[in-house]
Amino acid sequence: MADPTSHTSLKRRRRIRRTVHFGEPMPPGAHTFRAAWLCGPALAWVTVFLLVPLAFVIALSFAQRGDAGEVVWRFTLENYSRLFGNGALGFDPVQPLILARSIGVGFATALLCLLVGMPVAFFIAGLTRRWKTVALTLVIIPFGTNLLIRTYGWQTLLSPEGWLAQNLASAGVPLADYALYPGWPAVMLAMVCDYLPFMILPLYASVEKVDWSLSEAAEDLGAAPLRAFWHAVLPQIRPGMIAGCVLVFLPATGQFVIPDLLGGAKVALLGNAVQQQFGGSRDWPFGSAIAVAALLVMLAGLWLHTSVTKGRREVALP
Amino acid sequence: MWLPIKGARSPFLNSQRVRLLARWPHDFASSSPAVSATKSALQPSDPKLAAHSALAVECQHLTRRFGKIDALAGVSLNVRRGEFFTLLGPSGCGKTTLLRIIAGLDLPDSGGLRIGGVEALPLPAWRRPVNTVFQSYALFPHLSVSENIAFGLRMQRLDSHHIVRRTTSVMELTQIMPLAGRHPNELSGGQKQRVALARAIVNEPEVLLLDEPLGALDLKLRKELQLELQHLQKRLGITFIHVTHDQDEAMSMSDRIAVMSAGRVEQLGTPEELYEQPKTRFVAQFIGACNLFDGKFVSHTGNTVETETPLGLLRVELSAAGIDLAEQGQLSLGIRPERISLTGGEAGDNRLLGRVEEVIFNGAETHYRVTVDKAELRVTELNSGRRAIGLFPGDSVEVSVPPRNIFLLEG
Amino acid sequence: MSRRSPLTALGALLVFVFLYAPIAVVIVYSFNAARYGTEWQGFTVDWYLRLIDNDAAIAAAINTIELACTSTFFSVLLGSVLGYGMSRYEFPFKRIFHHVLHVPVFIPDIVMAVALLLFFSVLRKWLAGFELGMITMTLAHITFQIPFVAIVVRARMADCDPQLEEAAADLGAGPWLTFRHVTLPLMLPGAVAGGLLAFTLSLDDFVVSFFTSGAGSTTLPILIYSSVKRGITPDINALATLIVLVSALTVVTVAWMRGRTEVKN
Repeated sequence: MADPTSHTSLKRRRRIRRTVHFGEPMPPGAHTFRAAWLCGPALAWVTVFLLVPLAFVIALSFAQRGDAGEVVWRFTLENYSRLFGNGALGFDPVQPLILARSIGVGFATALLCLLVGMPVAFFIAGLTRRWKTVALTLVIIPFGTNLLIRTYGWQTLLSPEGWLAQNLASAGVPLADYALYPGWPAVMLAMVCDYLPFMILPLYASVEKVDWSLSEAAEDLGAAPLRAFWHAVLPQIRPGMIAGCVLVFLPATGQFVIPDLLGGAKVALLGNAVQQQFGGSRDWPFGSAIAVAALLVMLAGLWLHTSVTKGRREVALP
Repeated sequence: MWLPIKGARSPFLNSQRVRLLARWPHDFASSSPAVSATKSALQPSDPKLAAHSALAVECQHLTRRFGKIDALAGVSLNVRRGEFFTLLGPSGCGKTTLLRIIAGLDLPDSGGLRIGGVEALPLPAWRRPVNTVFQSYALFPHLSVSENIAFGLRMQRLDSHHIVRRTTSVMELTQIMPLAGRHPNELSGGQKQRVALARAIVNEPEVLLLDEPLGALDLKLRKELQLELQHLQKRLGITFIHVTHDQDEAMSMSDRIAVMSAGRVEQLGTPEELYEQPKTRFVAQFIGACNLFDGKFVSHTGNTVETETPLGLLRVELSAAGIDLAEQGQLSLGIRPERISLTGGEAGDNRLLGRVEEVIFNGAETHYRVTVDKAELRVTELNSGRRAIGLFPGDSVEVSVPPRNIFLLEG
Repeated sequence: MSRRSPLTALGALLVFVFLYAPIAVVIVYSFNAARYGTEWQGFTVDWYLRLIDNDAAIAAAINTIELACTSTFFSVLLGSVLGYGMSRYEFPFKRIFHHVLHVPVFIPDIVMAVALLLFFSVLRKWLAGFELGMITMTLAHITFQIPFVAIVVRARMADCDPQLEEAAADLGAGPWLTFRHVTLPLMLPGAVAGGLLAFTLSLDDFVVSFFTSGAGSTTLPILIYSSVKRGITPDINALATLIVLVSALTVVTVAWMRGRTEVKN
C-alpha cells in the first residue's frame, strides 16, 4: 500500500529471523543448540549402546563362522540363504519353519488376545470411575510382575502332576501325560496371559470413546443388536483393535522365555534360535542373521502400525 | 531460595512504584498507614510521571510472516496511556500476533515497538512492563489460586509480607477471596477468568494485555464481566489492550478501537467514529449493519456530491475526510439501516420510491426489506410507539435517505 | 456386546481369573509344606524363613536392587531431560530421533541382548580388564529404560499447555525461574511415573541381563531361571512371592499417582 522507500528511516533491525522461546528471544541456532544440549546425551547413549551394537549385528550377519566357532570376516550371504532353507544337503526346512512359526505365533497370540480381551475392555468401560481405576490397575499388575515367575506358574499349573491335570483327570477328561506341558497348549496359554494387558489397554481406550448413541440409533432403526454392534460399534473401536494387535504381535514374535520354559524342543521360535546360535552352537554370524530377521519382522509390524494409525493420537504405552 | 533477576524491569520499577503508591489508599483497602503517609509526596502530578511518554505502546510498521501468510503486514498504531484500547477483527486477522509481540512472546520480522517510551524489542518477555490475560487463562495447575496470583510478585523477589498484602487486596478487588486455597481445576470458567485477571493486575503492569478474555464464557457471564473489566480499568488507570472478535464487546468497552483485517489496521478510532464514519467497506460491514452499494460520480457543489447509484440519483454530503475520494469515477457508498426513514424524514433528504418486500417485527424495532428500482435496502425503524407505521409487504413507500448519513468508502 | 450385560461381566471375571492363575499358583505353593512335587501337604511359612539363610538368593536380591536403583537413577536423569527437550524444542531430524527412541521399546529382548553381548565382547578385545558384570548390565538396563522414561515424560509435557511457560515469562520469570517453578513441578509426576516404570522394567528383566551378566552378577530373574531349569525348590516360590509383592506395590503406586495427578489437572 505504501511506497517501500518511505520506511528507509526505520532501522533494519533484524536481517536474520530470531525466534522466541517462552518469551526468550533467541538468535538463530541457539534454539537448536539448546535442544542438542538437552536431547543429545540420551540420544547419544541410545545410539552408542543400541544402534551401534545393532550395526555390529547386521555386519556380523554377513560374516562367516570359523571351524572353532570364531568369526571370520569374509563377506557372505550364506547365513541368509540358510535362513531361507538352503542347507549343506539341499533344502532344510528347519530355519524357514522357525521363521514361519514365529510369525504364526505372533498372529495367533494377537487374535486370541483380541477375543479374550474384548469382554474385559467392554466390562471396564461400563464401570464407574473409581472401579475403572481399580480394574485397570488389576490388568496392569500381572504385566508388572516378572514374566519368569508367571511362566513357571503356568509350568506348575499345567504339569502332569499339577492341580489342573489332576482335577481334569478326576473329572473324567482323558488327558495324556504331557498333553498340556511341555508343548503348544502351555506356550499359547502363557503367551495370551502374558500379552493380554497390551491388548486390553488400547482396546479399553477405544471402547471408552465409543459413541453409543450410534448403536442405539441403529437398534431403533430395527437392526438386531448383533448387527448394530457390528456396524455401529466395531468400526469405532477399530483403532484400539489395531493398536492392541500390533502391541501384542511385536513382542510375541520375538519371545524367548516362554517357548524356552514351556515349549520343550518342539516349539522353537526366532528368539530361541538366536539364543541357540549365540549359546550352544557358537555360530554368531548365523545367530546375527536370525536376529536381523527378527528385527525385520518387528520393523514390518511397526510400519504397519504407523501406516494404519496415521494421523491419530499414539496409543499410550503401558 | 530465589535467584536474583538481574536488573529486572529496571527501567520501569521506579515509575511503577510511584504509580502503585499513588493509588494505594484508594484501591487497596488494606494498605498500611506508613504507606499512605507517603502518598502526599507522590501525587500523580509528580514530574517523573509527567516526563514519561504519554503513549503506552507505540508500534511502528510491524510485520510478521508465518510461512506464506502475512500475519502482520505493516501495523503502526499508538496506544495512549490509561486508555481501554481494543484490537478488533475476525480470527486470523493478526490481532493475537500483535498482542504476542507486545508481550514479548513473539518477535516481528521488521518494525519497531516502544512500551512506555522505551525500546521494547530487545527486552525479553520477563523484562517488559506488561502482563497478559491469556485466552486459555494458562493458570498454573500445580499452584493454588493465591499462589498463582502471587507468582509474579515472587518472581520480583518482593518480601513475603508485601506479597501477601498485595495478593490479598487484589483478590478482594476481583472478589475471589473465598477461592484463595483452591486449585485451578476446581474453578468454573468465570472464576478462572477472574484469577487470571488478578494474577496479571497484581503486578501493576504499565499495560495489561487481554487476549479474548471473555471468549470462553457464556453470554450472561460475559456481559457481567464486561462491565467489571471496564470499571476495573477506570479504577486502576492501567492501559488495557484488549483483543476480541466480538464487535458488541469492543464497542461497549473501549475508548478506542483498531479494526484489523488480513494483517492491517483498517481503521482506528473511537467507537462513535467507527460507526458514524467508517472508512472502508470492511469496517462498515464488520461494525453494525450496513447497506452497501456502488455509485458513479456525477458532479459536486461545495461538499455535496451527486452520485448515480442503483437506487437512482443520490446526494451525498461529505465530511472533510472524504472529499478527495469524490473525484474518483467509481464510488462505494454505505448507509446504516436505522438512518433511513420510511415515515417522511426531514427536508433535504433524498426521496426514493420503493416497495416493501418483508417486515420483521423485533420488539423494540422493526426491520424492513425494501426494493428501490432493482436494488435492495435494509431499513430499521424504532418502535417508539408514537405512531404506527402500518406497512405490509407489497405496499409502496417513500424512502428518505439523509445526505449527511451516507458515507463514502474505500475498497 | 454391551458394556453392562451380565455375560460381559462373567467373561471379564473369567479373564481376570486366567490372568492371575499363574501368580496365584506361585503364591499358594510358597506356603505348601511339601518338599517335592505339587501335592498340598499343609500350610507353612518355613520357606520364607529359609530364604534368610540362602546366600545365593540374598546376593542376587542385592544385585537386582543395586542394578535397578543405579540404572533407574541414570535413566531418569537422561530420559526426563530428553522427554522435556523433545516436547518443548524443535530440532533437525526430530522425527528420525523420535523413531530411534521407539526402537528399544519394540525390539525383541533377545535381539537387544545379543547385540549388546556382541558389542561388549568387541569392547573386551580393545579394553584390557573390561569384563561382563554389573557394569555392563547397568549400561544395558539404562539403554532400554531411557526411552520409556522419555516417552512418559514427553506425554506428560504434551498434556501441559506450553502457554503455561509463556505465562510464567509474562509474569516476570526468566528461563531458569520458569523451569524451576513451572516446568519442573509439571514434569515431576511424569518423571516419577517414568522412573517407577523403569525400575519395574529393570527388576523384571531377564533376557538382557542374562546375556550381559558375568560371574558374580546373578540377579533374581537369572537365579529363578536357573532354578526353573534345574527344578524348582519351594524356597524359590517364596522368593517369587516376595518379588510379586514388590512389583504389585510399585504398579499400585504408579496407578495411585497417576490418578492423583489426573484429579489435579
